[in-house]
Amino acid sequence: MNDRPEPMFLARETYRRRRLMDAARFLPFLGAFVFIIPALWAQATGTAAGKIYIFGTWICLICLAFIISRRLPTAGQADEAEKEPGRSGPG
Amino acid sequence: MLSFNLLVGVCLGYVCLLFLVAFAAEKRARAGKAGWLRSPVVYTLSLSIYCTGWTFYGAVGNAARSGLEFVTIYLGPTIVMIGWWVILRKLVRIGRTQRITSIADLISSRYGKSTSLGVLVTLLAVVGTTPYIALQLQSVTLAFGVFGGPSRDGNATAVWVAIGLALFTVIFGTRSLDANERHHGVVIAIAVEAVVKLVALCALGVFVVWGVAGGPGDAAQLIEASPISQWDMQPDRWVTLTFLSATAFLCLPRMFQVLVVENSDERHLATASWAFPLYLLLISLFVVPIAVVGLAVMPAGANPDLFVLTVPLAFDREGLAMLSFLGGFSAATSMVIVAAIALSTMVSNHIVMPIWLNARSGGATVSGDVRHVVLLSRRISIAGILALGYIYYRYSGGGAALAAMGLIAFVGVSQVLPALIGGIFWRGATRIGAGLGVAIGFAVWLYTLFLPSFGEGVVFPASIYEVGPWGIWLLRPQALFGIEGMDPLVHAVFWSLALNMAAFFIGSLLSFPRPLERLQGATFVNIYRYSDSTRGWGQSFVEAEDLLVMAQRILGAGDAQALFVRVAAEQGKRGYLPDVTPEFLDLLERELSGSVGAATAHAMLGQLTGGVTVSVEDLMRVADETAQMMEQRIQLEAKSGELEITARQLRDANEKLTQLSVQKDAFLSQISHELRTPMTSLRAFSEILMDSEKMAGSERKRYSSIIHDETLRLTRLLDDLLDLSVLENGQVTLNTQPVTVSAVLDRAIGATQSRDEANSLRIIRERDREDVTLVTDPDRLAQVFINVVSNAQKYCDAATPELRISVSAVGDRVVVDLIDNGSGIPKDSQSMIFEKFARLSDQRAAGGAGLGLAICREIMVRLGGGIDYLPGQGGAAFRVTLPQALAAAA
Repeated sequence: MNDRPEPMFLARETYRRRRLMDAARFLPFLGAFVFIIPALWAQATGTAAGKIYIFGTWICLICLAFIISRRLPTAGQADEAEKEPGRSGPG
Repeated sequence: MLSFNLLVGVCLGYVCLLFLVAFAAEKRARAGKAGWLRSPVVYTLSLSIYCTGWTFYGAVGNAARSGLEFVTIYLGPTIVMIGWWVILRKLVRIGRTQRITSIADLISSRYGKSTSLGVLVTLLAVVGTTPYIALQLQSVTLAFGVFGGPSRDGNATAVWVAIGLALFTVIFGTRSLDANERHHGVVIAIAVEAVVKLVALCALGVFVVWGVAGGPGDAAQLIEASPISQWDMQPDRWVTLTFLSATAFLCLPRMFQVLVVENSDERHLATASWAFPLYLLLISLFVVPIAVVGLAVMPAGANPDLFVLTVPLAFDREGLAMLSFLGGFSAATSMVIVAAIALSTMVSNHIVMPIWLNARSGGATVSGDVRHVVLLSRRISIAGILALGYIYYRYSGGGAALAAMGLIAFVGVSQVLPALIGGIFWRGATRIGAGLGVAIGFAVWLYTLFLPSFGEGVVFPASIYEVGPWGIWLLRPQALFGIEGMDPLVHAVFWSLALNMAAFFIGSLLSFPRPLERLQGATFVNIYRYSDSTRGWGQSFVEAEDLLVMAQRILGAGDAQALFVRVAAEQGKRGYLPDVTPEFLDLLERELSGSVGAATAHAMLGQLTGGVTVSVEDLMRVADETAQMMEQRIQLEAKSGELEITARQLRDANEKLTQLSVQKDAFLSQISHELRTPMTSLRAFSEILMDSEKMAGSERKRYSSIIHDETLRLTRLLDDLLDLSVLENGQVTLNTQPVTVSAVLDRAIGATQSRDEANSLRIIRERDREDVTLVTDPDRLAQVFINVVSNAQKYCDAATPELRISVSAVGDRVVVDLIDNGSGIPKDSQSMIFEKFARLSDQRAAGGAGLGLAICREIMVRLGGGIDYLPGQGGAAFRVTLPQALAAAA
């Protein structure tokens, strides 16, 4: 829909912001992945070890979410970026 | 032992405290000092209503029964929260811009403000939430039972709890018809409760790990030695439960209420994205140790759902037990309050208001405040919902394990998921598809999970489980389509959502949406682009006064008048009545929908405006503004291209004109010179003849012949001018007849060759190709050839001048190329040579006045052909193009 000709390459700062948004989109998939892994091996594992795995990955995910949410642009900037066509954006 | 009366006293005190907190918060907010009441921390804490009494008590019970499986209930929401950028941010943005009041409102609004979808989702939510409320009543009652002993009447407790909750909810949940449906008091109260339940569970956990087990290491050993030391995982349940909890987190009406409706700032989501998973982690951190210790110290057969209370009591920690009780109480009450608010909003906006509006077909124009109707319907809904919960609790026997009932409710509300996610990411999703999907999912859930949950023989006779209804083996409720051996919950989730999605998808593909639906679809899916509102109303003919009357009844007189005055001022008008523009109708509808929901607001405005709403034309005009802009841009580009071409032509023309004007000046001097020269000699020689009487005969003859020659030259010049003028005015008559090119060329060459034998031009011809018959005027054509050939004779500057003549037929046209081997004509002169009076040099030898080629061109135009200069041939080259047969008209 948006027909504004888009620059082929972006300034470094905008590029970083876009990749950070990609990271934010990727995070839930990472979460789903690490939480599904126990379904593969948990039958042979003790509760204590399982607990360490679950809570360990859980904390890692929280830390990642913290870092990403802190750096993500404020609403206005994000909108500008989202308005660009092809949200994956130019590389 | 803690006395029951003390417990009731503490409980009442706690409730009073919550009342005070909520009241103070409302007061602050009303004074415009919301400030920290709306901080990201409060937002995050308010999300904790996800952790209900079920999770507070049931998680430990679940852990005692099946180990780590309980944690899936927290992993799903964690995934959703850390993925806030994908779904939640969009939901919140939609909720804020479209003034969404509930999940039913969102679905109804997305699918063209459909009333029927709103009703369907509301029904689903009520049916799905009722067992959940029963669950909370049960957990509180059970908890009271722990302290009061078995002799106490559980039902009486449940009644009092239900009444107390209804009271609190009515007081703080329906204080006002807030335009944004935000409830400051309630949010603060549940934030406080969130802290209480977290502190309670953590305190108990710390006590268990350090006080009972003797440290984390010992606790781990205790786990190893317990009956749940082996992680007896069922992968299908693990994955299903994680997915289910993620789904429920998005779809539960109460979660939607705190996540979207109560959200006051999108940035709060960023904080909650990590803070809420952290809260969940802390809540679940000590669940396993508590369960393990409970299993170790409590007698066999003790209800593991109550370990949270019985374990501290077993160690005579009454204070801790009291804290735990308050934690569980908080969890249960906060959930019930928010769920009741969310459901009452839905019931009143999607069921009561439409019925009320229909019943009074006089419609919205009748005077009187409608707000009391809305508020009353909400209050009654709250009471009704809690009564339903109580009835469910009373008659479901209250015996089922807490977690099972909670999961059943989860599956029920999850049926909204396809319509919700499809609605915000897929423009092709339609009302028919969404309705079909939700209805089929709902039915499958009822059949495979909800009704069987009452136990065999209660709703369905046992035979149905064995052989299926009416003996149809494929339709057994817990083994649909003959697939046996699945966990009943996994089975229900799988089939209900699979059939739901299939119906949603196929229904959407095969149906065609109404204009309003398409408009809403585009708005929702592209919410980041259209954050300002899109237009939903066309031009209509309603009186602003009627609108004011209606708005006053819903928004209240003060607010409505303020709104109208503001809009009127923006339109540059004074007073209360702005012009009824589509923009104003949209604004008004949004304001109203904040109070009564999108479908009702739309219907009310529709009644007033006579149902004039968006038409396909409006849709085309409005929804694809960008497409229009693109079209305009393309048109502009085309125009600018045209302009550029025109400008280039103009520039060329101008250049030509300038050159022509220079030429004309040059010619005027030339022609005066040309005329003057023979005139001068004529005068001179005639004077000589006049003056000298005795002149020799030969002299006289010579002078006379000079005079004669000069007059001939003058005549020729004037002939040429005359000829050109005749040709240009189209007054020439052509004498057409069939002739071969060869004959015409022969004639032309014969006419030129004779003049100057010395400086002869060698002419190369291809006679076999010249035998082309034409119907044309041979005299005129010969004149053209003569001109070109004699030009070559005059101007060809090669040492041995040659002229190559080649004839070819292209289609029905004959092309004659005449190419000499001289230096040709310079590029910047090529455009000039066919103009009148053009002369490339001052060669007096040329003898002409520069009219030859101009005459040629005019002749060729008359003959239906043309003559062009052919560049790039190694010399001056002219191409004469002719039709084989001259059109009769010419």
